Amino acid sequence: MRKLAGENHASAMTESLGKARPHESALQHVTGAALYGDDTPLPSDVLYVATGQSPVAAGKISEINLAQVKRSLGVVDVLTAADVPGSNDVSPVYTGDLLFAEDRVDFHHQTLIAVAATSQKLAEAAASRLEVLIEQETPRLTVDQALNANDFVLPTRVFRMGDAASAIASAEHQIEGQLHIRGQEHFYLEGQVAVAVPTETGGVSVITSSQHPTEVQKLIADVLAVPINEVQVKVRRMGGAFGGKETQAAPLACIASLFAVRTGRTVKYRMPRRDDMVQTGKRHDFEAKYSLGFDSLGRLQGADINLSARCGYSADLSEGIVDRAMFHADNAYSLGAAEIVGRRLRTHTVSNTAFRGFGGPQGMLTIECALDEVADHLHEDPVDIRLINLYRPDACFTPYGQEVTDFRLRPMMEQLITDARYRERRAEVTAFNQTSTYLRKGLALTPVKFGVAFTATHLNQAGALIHIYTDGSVILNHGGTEMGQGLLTKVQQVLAGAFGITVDRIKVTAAATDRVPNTSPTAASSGTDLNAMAVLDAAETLKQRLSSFLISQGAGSDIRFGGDQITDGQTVWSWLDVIQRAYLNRVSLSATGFYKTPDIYFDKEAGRGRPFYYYAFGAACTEVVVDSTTGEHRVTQVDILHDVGRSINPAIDRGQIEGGFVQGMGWLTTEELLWNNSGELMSNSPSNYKIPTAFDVPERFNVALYQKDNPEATVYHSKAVGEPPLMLAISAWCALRDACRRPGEQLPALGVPATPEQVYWAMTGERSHAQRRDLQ
Amino acid sequence: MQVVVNGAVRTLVGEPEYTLLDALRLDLGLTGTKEGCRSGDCGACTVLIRESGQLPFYPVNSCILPVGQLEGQEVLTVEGLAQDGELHPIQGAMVDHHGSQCGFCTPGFVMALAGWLEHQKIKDVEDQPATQAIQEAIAGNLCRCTGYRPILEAARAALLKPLPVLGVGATAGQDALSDPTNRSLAELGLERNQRGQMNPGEQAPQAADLEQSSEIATASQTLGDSAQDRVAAFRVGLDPNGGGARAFYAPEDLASLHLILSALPDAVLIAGGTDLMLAVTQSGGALGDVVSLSKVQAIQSIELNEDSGVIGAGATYSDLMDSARIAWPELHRFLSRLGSPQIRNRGTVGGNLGTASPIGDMLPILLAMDAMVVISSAKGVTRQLSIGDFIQGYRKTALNQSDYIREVRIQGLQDFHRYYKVSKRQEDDISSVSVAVRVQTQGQCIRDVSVAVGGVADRALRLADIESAFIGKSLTEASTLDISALVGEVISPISDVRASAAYRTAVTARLIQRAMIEASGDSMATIYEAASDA
Ligand SMILES: Cc1cc2nc3c(=O)[nH]c(=O)nc-3n(C[C@H](O)[C@H](O)[C@H](O)COP(=O)(O)OP(=O)(O)OC[C@H]3O[C@@H](n4cnc5c(N)ncnc54)[C@H](O)[C@@H]3O)c2cc1C
Ligand code: FES
Ligand code: FES
Repeated sequence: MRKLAGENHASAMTESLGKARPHESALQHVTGAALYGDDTPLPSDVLYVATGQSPVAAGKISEINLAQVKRSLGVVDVLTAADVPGSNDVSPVYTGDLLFAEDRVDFHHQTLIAVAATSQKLAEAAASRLEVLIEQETPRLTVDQALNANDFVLPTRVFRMGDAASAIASAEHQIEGQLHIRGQEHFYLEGQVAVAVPTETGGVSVITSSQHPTEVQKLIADVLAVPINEVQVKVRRMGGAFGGKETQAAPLACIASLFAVRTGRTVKYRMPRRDDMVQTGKRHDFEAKYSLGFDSLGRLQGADINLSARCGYSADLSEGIVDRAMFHADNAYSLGAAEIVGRRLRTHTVSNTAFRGFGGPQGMLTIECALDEVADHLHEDPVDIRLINLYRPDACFTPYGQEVTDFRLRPMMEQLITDARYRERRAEVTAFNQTSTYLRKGLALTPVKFGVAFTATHLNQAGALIHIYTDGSVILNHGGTEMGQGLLTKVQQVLAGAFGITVDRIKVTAAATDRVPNTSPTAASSGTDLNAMAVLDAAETLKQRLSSFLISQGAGSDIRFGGDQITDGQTVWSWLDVIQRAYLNRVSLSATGFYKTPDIYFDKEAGRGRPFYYYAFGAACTEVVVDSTTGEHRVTQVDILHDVGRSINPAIDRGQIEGGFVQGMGWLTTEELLWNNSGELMSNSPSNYKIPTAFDVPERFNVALYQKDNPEATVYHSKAVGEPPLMLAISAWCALRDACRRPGEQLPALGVPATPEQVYWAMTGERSHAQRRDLQ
Repeated sequence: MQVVVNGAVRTLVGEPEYTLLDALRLDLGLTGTKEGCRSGDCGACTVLIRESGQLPFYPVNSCILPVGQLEGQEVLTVEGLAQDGELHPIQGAMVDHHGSQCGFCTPGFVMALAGWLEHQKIKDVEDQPATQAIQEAIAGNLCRCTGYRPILEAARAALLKPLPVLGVGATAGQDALSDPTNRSLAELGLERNQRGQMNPGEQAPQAADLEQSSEIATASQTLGDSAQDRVAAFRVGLDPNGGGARAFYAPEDLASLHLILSALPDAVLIAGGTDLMLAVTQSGGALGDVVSLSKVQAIQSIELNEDSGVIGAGATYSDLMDSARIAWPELHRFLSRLGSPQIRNRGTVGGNLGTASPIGDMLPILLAMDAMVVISSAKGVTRQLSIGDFIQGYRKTALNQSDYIREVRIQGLQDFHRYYKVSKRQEDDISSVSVAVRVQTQGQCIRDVSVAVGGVADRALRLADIESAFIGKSLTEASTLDISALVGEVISPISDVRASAAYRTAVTARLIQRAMIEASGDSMATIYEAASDA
């Protein structure tokens, strides 16, 4: 009997965990039944919101004239900073992120006023009639301009290990360089949206597309000057987020809520795509400078890395983002003595924000760019320089003092070198380039080591709520939000495994602040790590209750759950039977769960600690072909080996890896954010900001999961997979740069993103053109 | 006005610029069709439409499609794709292959691929489409989550499944068909279709036809009051109050078109709307009276002969691509780079001319092919202008009030020609630079050459100085002639978000040179060929 129960348990495991189950909403997605914020059914008296925006990037507001706006057809209400009853500051951590501009404007298209009108069109028409007088100032747009003005949103931080300057100076070889890394627009397919419904007590109930419902809830309460319990916020799903809905969704929800409370009507605020592109934050641009000292084998002795981020007009999340860039400036390598400096510059541009990787990609790109130069300097294959510098038993501490344990990259890279035939293909590429006249190929293999956990330690907590109903069906709720990453699918599988029931019995529902309170954002790749553990905690409580109940009814003490059944090794009861009997015997069938990540801490001032619970690893090998007449290029083959621990759902993990790679490839190749000299974003629509299409994805796109249990006590020993794969795309940029090298010449500089134009200048060696002077 | 949506007749009212997307989402409560950009760029709003029950459905961007163009037509949205609870093969395959993550793009992909599969059905089944064909089919659909691989696999899998019959006539449409009003609509569609099926010989309106049609127009104009009635007859009943200041007209023949244009000299013409509607959706503009050309069959035909051709102004890029497959392969190849399938299904050559944008991709080609633009007045009187004279400046043409473009005539199909387009992204992007070169040789000697460029000035233009530099040279000489300095002298492009001036100049010279190398018989492999071999 015991054995049988064990088998049952195993079969329930295979039914749910580790299975490539489709997304929990797949059927709703393909039939159009899945509802997003924009699809919320609305009453006929609903109001729509549009905003009046700053026509300049910097200046003092001398007059705002609303007469024309108020007179405009269909207008019901108009808001300015002065009309906010509570706080006009909607910053997530520090201060300075404003709902409405107050006495000055600090970026082009900053929100000055909001209009609520009876249709979207009328709201937009009214907002466009805003008259505003601004004493214009010359905007500071670049990192260098802000450095010259000594203008920072937050203090500079340094990680130090040993004496980098003297280690570099005394090394056999040195290189020095710099890299201008552009930002990235999220381009989630679903634009920002919020719908607010007033409640009878002066509060609101809000549907938003946010990764952080709790923060939206708190900020609405602050803005309305009501207690948090007057505000309910709900997120069923987002149409993509990528970090762009961690803080950026809140202003819409706040403005819609203000109007809802003032007018007593339902209010919908959905940004047209152009507003979304010019008014919401993006990935940070960085100015990176590095100098490395190394021996004749290419082994690093010391590194001095300066990362200066363009943060925009306010702090937003720039503290953690620049920290994470610094945390990843070593990527997978022991740098020797190291000094890593992170600066946070204030500019008259929209406040940059979270974006998949959260600064990590920029830090990592810097060291990968530098290592290619080390290889070039020594005439070595870059992959050998990478291998020789990987963390190793005698060099396993990061510049911030965390020991790198369970380091998997050496076997992973070696496996990928074999599987992708890197050495043979290196020879083929070299041979091709020797005979080809105008087409050139490039190849690169780069690793990723990405730290998992929020670096703000208190965020590493989660809550869950489970109800079991008398027909045996289960409702599962937790603080995590679904943005396409498959969180709800994975957590559903985890709970099915814990209860030993089929997935179909479990309904996953919207994140709602009145069900699970005080949640952290679904971010830092930690959605499953945190929420699934909280769910397991709640499941454990319920299983205990059910077990105690059965024991109290005379069952044996070894109760097991599996195969839609529960057994004590002697008798087998169906799930439904036990649930119904438990109910009749007054056993509570509802429980909450809680989890906090153990063992992590970080001393910000000292730059020391264990900020990460564990690292996720990956490696990618990418080949490209470039046309030297135009700089047009194409990725021709990608081979990826990525570490997911023990996969809860291999299809979802693969989807994250492929999607992350392609998104990273877009950042590094076609997606070019450009501002003109007055600080207006020129790449402000999908017609001039180009994310990859299906055509940009190579036919040979081989992805393998490196499945080996995470030694940490994560959920089923899996690993986070949301962000790390984005950085696999660094291999595409390195391969393009490899292709740009002219035989016998030095590795040329290559812009980021490597648009056809940037590749063209890299190939012709005309450095003077490599950076756009007219556009920032 | 009435449209068949998912098999049921629906009545729609709104302003002339009222889009199908708004009609579906706001009025019909069909929120499965998503709005991602409102500019034709993302494909989230993709639905299928067709003229009548007999033609296959094709995908379009509902966000820039004015409903006035759809009267009596059939629309299929994602909600109407599954039949009797049975998923369409592409829907099932998208689930099985994990083709959706956030799901917001999914309805658009499902519809684009369902539309593509409709066309595969009528093609040779042996002709297994390569990955590239599927990639092109979804070039107008953006997905930010999946990286596309699972979507491509879903399309490949769906292709192997039997396809259901879509729309009215299919089981889902039974209810609609049993309703007498609907039946008449379906029949109306049928009748239209028969009218539309001209014999190949009849298609191109020749000069003689032009005269004739202008006579018809004059004749009907003498009808006086009844002419007003005829104008009104093509007024699409969009206005809720039946009257109203602005209206949408959808004439079906030249005579009616002429009547309407005469009666409404300030009306704005719309063909595919893929340019015009952006003014509405992006800048909140309103149109005045709108006259749609999309049902005027007489200006939609294409005739490509051995060396010359006539392209109706109302011909869509998709039609042109089909016609050019054999007769004008270089154009066929090039057109896959223009917009996306959804855009090509609506956008027209006349619209490209009418816009006269410096980055209109057809314009350098037409310039290189010595095109003549045939313009008609509202009276039906026609005149011809060389395309060089037709384009007068930045988005400025030689069209007078109530003129319309009837067709464009090209020559030189037998000559060597090459068309290039450089953009940040390969698919569905606007040119940074486009270059069209046509070379006429006598033996090994260049007798004449046309070099036309787009994206480097306020308008598309021919580069006469460059042309003269080549004329009289042997092909080998021409292929090694360094023209970069000369190109730098004759063009002075601007720097903008798409490219810098320096890059535009450099690449223009390189592409002209490339054409000459290719003309000399040296075929230059592209990065795409290099990507697919090995
Ligand atoms: C997403 C997207 C991608 C695009 N990609 C490209 C591209 O790659 N290359 C490119 O060149 N263009 C591109 N375009 C622009 C557009 O599709 C083309 O210019 C197209 O040819 C316009 O044709 P239309 O029939 O849609 O024109 P419409 O929008 O209907 O009309 C455009 C203008 O021409 C006038 N007009 C139309 N027909 C006539 C006629 N017969 N006589 C007189 N005037 C007329 C109209 O009054 C209007 O002023 C793109 C557009 C979008 C939205
Ligand atoms: S909404 Fe993006 S193409 Fe229509
Ligand atoms: S699944 Fe999210 S955009 Fe495609």
